[in-house]
Amino acid sequence: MRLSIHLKSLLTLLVAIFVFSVVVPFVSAPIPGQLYGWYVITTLFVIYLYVSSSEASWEEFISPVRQLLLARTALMKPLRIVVFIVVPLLCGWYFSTWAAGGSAPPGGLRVIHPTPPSSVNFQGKQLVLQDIPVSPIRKDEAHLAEHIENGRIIYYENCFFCHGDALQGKGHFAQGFNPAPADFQASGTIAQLSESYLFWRIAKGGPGLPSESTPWDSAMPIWEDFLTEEEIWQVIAYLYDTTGHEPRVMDHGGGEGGGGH
Amino acid sequence: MLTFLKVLAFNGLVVLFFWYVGNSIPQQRKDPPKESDLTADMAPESFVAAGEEIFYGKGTCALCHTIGEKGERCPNLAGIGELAGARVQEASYQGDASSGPEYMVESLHNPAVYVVDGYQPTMPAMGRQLNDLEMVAVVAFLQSLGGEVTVTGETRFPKYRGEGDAAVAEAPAAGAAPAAVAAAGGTGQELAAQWGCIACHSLDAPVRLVGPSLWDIGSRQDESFIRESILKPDAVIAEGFPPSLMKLTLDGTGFYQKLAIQDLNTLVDYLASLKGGG
Amino acid sequence: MRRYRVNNAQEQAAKRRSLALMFLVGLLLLGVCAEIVQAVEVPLPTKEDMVYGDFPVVGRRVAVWVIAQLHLMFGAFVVGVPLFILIIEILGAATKNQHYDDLAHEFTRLLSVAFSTTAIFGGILVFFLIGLYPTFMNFLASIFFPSMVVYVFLFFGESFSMYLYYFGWDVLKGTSRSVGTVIGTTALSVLVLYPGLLLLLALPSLFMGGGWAVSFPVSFGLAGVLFIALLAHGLRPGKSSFVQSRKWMHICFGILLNYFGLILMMISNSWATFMTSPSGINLDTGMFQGTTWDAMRNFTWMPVNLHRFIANIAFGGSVVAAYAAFRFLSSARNSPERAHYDWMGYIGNFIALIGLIPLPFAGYWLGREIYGYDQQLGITMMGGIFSWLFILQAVLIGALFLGANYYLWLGMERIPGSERYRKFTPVMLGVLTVCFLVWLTPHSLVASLEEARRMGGAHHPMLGVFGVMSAKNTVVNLMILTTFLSFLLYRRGNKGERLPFAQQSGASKVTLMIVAALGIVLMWQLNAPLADPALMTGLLLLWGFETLAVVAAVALTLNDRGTLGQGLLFAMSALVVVFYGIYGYYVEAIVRIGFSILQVSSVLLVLLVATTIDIVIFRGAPLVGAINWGRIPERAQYVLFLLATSFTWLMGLMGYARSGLRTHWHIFNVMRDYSSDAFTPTLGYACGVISIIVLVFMLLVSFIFWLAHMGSLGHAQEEAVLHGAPSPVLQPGGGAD
Repeated sequence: MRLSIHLKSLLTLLVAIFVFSVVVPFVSAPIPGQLYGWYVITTLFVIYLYVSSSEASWEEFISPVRQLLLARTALMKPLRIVVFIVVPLLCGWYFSTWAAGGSAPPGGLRVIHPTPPSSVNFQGKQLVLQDIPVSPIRKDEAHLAEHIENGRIIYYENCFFCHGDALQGKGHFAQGFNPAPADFQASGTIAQLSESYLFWRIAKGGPGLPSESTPWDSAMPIWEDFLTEEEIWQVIAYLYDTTGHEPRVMDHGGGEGGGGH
Repeated sequence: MLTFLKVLAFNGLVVLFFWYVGNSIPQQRKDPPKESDLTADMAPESFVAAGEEIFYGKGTCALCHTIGEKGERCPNLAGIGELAGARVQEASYQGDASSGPEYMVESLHNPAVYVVDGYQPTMPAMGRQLNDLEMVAVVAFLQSLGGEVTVTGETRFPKYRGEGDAAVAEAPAAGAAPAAVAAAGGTGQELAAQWGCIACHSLDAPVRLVGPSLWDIGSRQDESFIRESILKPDAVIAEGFPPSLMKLTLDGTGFYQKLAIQDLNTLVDYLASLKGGG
Repeated sequence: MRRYRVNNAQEQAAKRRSLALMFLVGLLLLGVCAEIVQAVEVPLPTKEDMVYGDFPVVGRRVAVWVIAQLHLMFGAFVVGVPLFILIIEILGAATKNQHYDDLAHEFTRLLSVAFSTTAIFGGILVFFLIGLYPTFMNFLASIFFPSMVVYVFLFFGESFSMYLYYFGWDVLKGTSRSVGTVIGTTALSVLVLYPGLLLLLALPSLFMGGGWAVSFPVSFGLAGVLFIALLAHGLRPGKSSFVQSRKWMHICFGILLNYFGLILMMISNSWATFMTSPSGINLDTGMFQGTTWDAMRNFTWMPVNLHRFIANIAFGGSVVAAYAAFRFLSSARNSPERAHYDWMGYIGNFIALIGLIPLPFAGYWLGREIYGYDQQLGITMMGGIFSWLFILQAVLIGALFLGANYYLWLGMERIPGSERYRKFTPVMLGVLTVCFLVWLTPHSLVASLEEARRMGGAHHPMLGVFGVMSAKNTVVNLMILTTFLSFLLYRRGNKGERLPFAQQSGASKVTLMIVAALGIVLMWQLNAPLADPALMTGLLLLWGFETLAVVAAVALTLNDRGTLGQGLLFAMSALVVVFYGIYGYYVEAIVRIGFSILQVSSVLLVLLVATTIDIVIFRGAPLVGAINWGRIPERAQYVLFLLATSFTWLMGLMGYARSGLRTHWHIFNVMRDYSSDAFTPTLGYACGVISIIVLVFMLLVSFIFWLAHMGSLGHAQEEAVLHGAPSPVLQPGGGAD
């Protein structure tokens, strides 16, 4: 049996909406409103492309509309009037509810990896992050294991409560926070970053985030108040060692020379 | 011509659509970071001027300290340039500063080391808010009050601010036990004094200090409001008071990092019990 | 006809004079080149030194922004269009197809008017920059002055070759045995071949040392020898030679025009990239120390050159297609003009597609280099304040891909026999849609608190997976493959039953083998840098798999199953792309970056081999019917406008990204912007400015094209009066593609 193009389009739309609003939430979690809107609009646009991609299907699709607008039959005339009244009303109703808004606060723009400053003032001491391609304790290779062990202790005394035993951001307190504590095992967090970046985030915590990361009520404390420089490097070494990620090392082309790459 | 107008309208719609998409997401403007104009080779007068700016500006010192008249909440700093050198010699002085400038830096980093008679230890630790040159500027300004400016752009205070290894040895002492933020206990009244609330808020009379009086806060607001006002001071600002001041001050004291939840509860209960009158 | 001969002699004389002039200019250029290698020391201005001008109402930044962007757009058109004009002209000369020659000529008419507009905006830009950012411009000029002098002279050369190319079109045809022509053509040929010669000489010096100091003098000598040899070749009595071909002379002007345009673009790119990734600056002494060449050869220069070069072609193609679309809409139904402009629009869109396909790869290289130069820049771009800009970019690129495919599908309307391939449309549309949805999904979602709670955090557990590089690379490769498939189906639309492969010429069989072998070697070359011991096994397996697929495809082609072979190649590539896309989630970032190269190389392999198979198997196939140019729904023309507008808008957006990336710096991390415009505006504000720029550009372009059209009408009328003939009718393009 051959489906009419209208039925096909409608089915496609319904299936898409079903996937976006039922299947995805059922399998994982609901899609935020804005993205959902984008998905539906894209689907509508694609359906338009589909029906109009050949003259034949476009004719088939548009002829009832043309009939509705132009035909002078006994059926179409009243129908036309009804449509002309109902459609604007529906639009008006939709836009008025949309413009009225709800009681929920608007969505926030979150920037996951904000830009680090070029230097930080750590406990009164100026550290230029660019000049620290790798953690300074890595130079002390003989004692690296010791440092990592120390980092482990520091982690369990301080970080464990939120970031968890498995370093997956699922500690005891994690459920209470928005944003959730970072998952170090994921490929999108510390695996993408350099050690000096981690140092900055740990030392300055949530309050030290730049403006583009707001609104941000990150509960991450300012660890420079509690930890020494060396301790922070140790805990960083522990994180990389335990997750098995390699810190990103920037091949800095600035300064003199450059080019030739 | 009609074709041209049709095409123009179509293109206009396309452009409008892209414009809309760009505007449909939350907007963020990025301002350049505030840059301190200080350089190490500036003349002493420039440091003094910069220090004065910090004193009255971002340092928020002048909220409590006065120069020339008796301070309500904090000591008068007139003549501190000379006085500081003498203070470190006093018998009652327990700190480890050995000169006037060092005393000033110590008081900024750890205000409780020496509290002037007749005042409460309400001052937050401001040292970490300043970078090396800003610290020099503040010290230069304080020295210029009745004394001679001896610090230069090269002066550093490793004893308090750390430099290289010194910082590692120094810092944890200030931080106390890290993870275990133990409840300090005590009554709400004691906590309000300990964390310096009383420096800016009057708790026993309808007097306006730096912040609004809280003597009848319990009859005006409920507990959750009080709790929010402590944790997020800028959520609701009492009319006629500047925003972000309380957050800045409490950040400086480490209040948000160091206050135990039990103590916060005690404090909120205490404030909620203030109904004015008695 | 007599009138032409007089003109001919005059133009010959004029040409000789201009050649002499160009020779002098060349000498002058050499002198300036010597200046470039002179080291200079320029102190960085301090905050107190910085002076800024004011601009009423919109402010200095928006003023410079708008003018610079308009200059860039016209510049891109002027640099991009000559390249494909040249290719079309050569195609026409090689196949002796007059349609192509006419089409190229028509494109050139658009070019010549746009050329002066570019220059005007360039002039305004210079005045604005000097007036509004005097200190900063002074600093840049002290570093780049020699290159600016070169720029000016090259501009001179560009206009010369451009006008010679355009005005010489009708004259430079056929062959001439006159000494003047032979000398002129020889000189031009040497000029055209010289860069190749120099490159050839640079190769041995790479291995044996000596460098440019040796290559240059030797290349001069060789060029002299070449000149004499060609001259002798051309002057041999009784023999015909390519140096006697005046069409070749004309093509040489076209090549020179491209050389000039390309070098001009690269020089001005170096100024811009220096601001993003400065080199040669010593922060301790606060000085620029080095030569102009040091400053030009900065970290992001080459990636930007490549990216802009490709984008210019795509941009030029799409604007030309929009022009054709407009002419299509304004000509009468079923008229020959309509057929002609339909064909022109198709060619323009085809060129835009050729540019669009490699563009993401070039952009990816640029992005990686920016990240490599400075972490801060990289994070600002991809994770920081500009991350949302790239979502907008995704919408634009999605629109481009969907639009380009849709145009091809609609184009099937005019091809008899294409109904056979209709059934694939929904499938391809489905693949494109899914890819587009993934491409569109941002890493950081806009979500209200309530929504974030329901998602269980800021990341969506399922869609968050689509936000990262692995997913984006995968879908963009799939979109490219699908677009390519659309094109192949379009191409075979009116081809009937294929000839048995045994009947194909030996040459085509050999070509197929060579291309397949070349493809495999090329893929190995691309992947070889990744061959470290840990990945070796996987890489060898991949190579084996891909080689097997290519060999199987060739074998199938030999057995008359060419289309099945193509299908096999597509399946292979899609499998490789998806496999490495998924595998990318389980490896380190550094390995993942390597995976994108594996994906790209497999797609390139398919593009190369499948195209060759397609050409070979459909050679000589009977046609179901001729293409009915002009028989296409009008909405297809609107798609061409959509493409042109999206391209222009995208260019504006990326211009903002490139410049805005520096945030509050004039020169990143070196010289701060102390003006009141130092802040980075919101994306929405930038979109407003870009939209206005695009509208202004479109209006200006419409005006310019209207002028060009009027000129051609006038010319046609004049011709008609002169020859006493009815005004010429534009021929529809032939179906031979």
